[in-house]
Amino acid sequence: MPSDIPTKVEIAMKIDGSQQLEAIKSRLNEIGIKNEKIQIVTEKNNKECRVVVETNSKPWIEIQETLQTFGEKRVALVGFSDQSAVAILDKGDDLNIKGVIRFCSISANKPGIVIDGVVDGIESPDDHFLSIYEYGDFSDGCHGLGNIYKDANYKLTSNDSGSSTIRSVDHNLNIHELIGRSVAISKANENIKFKGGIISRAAGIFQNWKKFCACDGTTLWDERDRQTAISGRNA
Amino acid sequence: MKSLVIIFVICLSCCAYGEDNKPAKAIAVLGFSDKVFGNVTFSQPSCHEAVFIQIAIVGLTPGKHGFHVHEKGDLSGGCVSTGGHYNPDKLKHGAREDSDRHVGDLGNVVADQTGTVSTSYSDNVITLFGSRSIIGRAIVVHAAEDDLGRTDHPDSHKTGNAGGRLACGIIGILEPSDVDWPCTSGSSHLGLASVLLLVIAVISFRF
Repeated sequence: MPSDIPTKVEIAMKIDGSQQLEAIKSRLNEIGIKNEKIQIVTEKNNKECRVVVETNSKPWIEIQETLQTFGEKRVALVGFSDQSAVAILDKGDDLNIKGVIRFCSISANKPGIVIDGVVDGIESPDDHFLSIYEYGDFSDGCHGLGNIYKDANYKLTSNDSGSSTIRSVDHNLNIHELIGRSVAISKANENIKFKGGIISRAAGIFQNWKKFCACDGTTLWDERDRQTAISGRNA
Repeated sequence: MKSLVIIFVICLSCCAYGEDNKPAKAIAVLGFSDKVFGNVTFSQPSCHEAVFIQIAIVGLTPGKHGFHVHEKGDLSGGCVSTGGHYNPDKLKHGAREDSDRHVGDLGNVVADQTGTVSTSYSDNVITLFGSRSIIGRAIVVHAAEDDLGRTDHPDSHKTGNAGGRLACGIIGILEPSDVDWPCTSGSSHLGLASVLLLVIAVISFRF
């Protein structure tokens, strides 16, 4: 892939009104992103906006961190050209555990992904892992997943609100090799997969206006919305 | 001669993105429904051969139901967030046999009096290889019959007017049962085969 292909990242933000948009732009200008590479669409009476930034080389995480200076909980990555994937943890026997994991390329040109997600219903997150498995076959519970793929194990950590979060960077993987494989939660030293899901192609730029979980490990925008996102699909 | 070139182009286009050990089998477990369940399995012996599809579904109403591959495998908003029919070439909606069809247009499945579908067929358009692979996308079963783009309904050429989305499932990689598929044994192998074909093609052109 030529290295000068521009990539778009879409970030959702909570804002205090349209007067904040100029401040967002100038903050992005400070890290070298010109105005013509920034597109902002407001919604919900200027209480939320979608910021789309076109960049050749800047990692999305740097853009996200810049926007987080407006408030960490107000910013969520929601799309990354065609290079993002999502897994909903809804397959398996444990009815209490559920979650959403997102995978985003760090940049368009190099391997390396960020794994980011929230999992509910685990009592002791610190001795649990999220692992990537070879196959995405859930026709027999979590038994058809094969082996762990390329030693991809990620530790869960507990957060303030009682959920578990995963945030990890893996420089050996790329999105494209993970599509159709799976992730599952298991306990350290025990070969039982409690809950899993297939890693699938996620919506791209401006395709995700519905409910979703965020790539920053928190939820969009709060605990209640996330519950809706996970349970609302059966409605 | 022409066929050689065509085979070369097809092989190159579908295998060029291929990876080592990329499997040629996939499965979608249909869910997100209280009533409709099923498995859809796909197998493709090599990248330039047809995909064999086996469909087993229970819990449908008797009759025809639209059956499509949708673009995304994103179920964070239920079956709705899987996007439209997978249609990378921006063609009109059609029947499985039509040349003018979406890649994801698999027509209808027909449920018997007990609401069961049990069928299998091969399709030449979908693939499990390369950037146009259906892996990671979703299978959706619709409430109504797909009109295959044949009616005057405004949605006929877009969706086949097949109604709501009854059940869906993400197409995931299935453990390959056979070890040595062509086109999956690594890029060096692949490069060699492509070069060989290219040489043959060039030689044939010269004579």
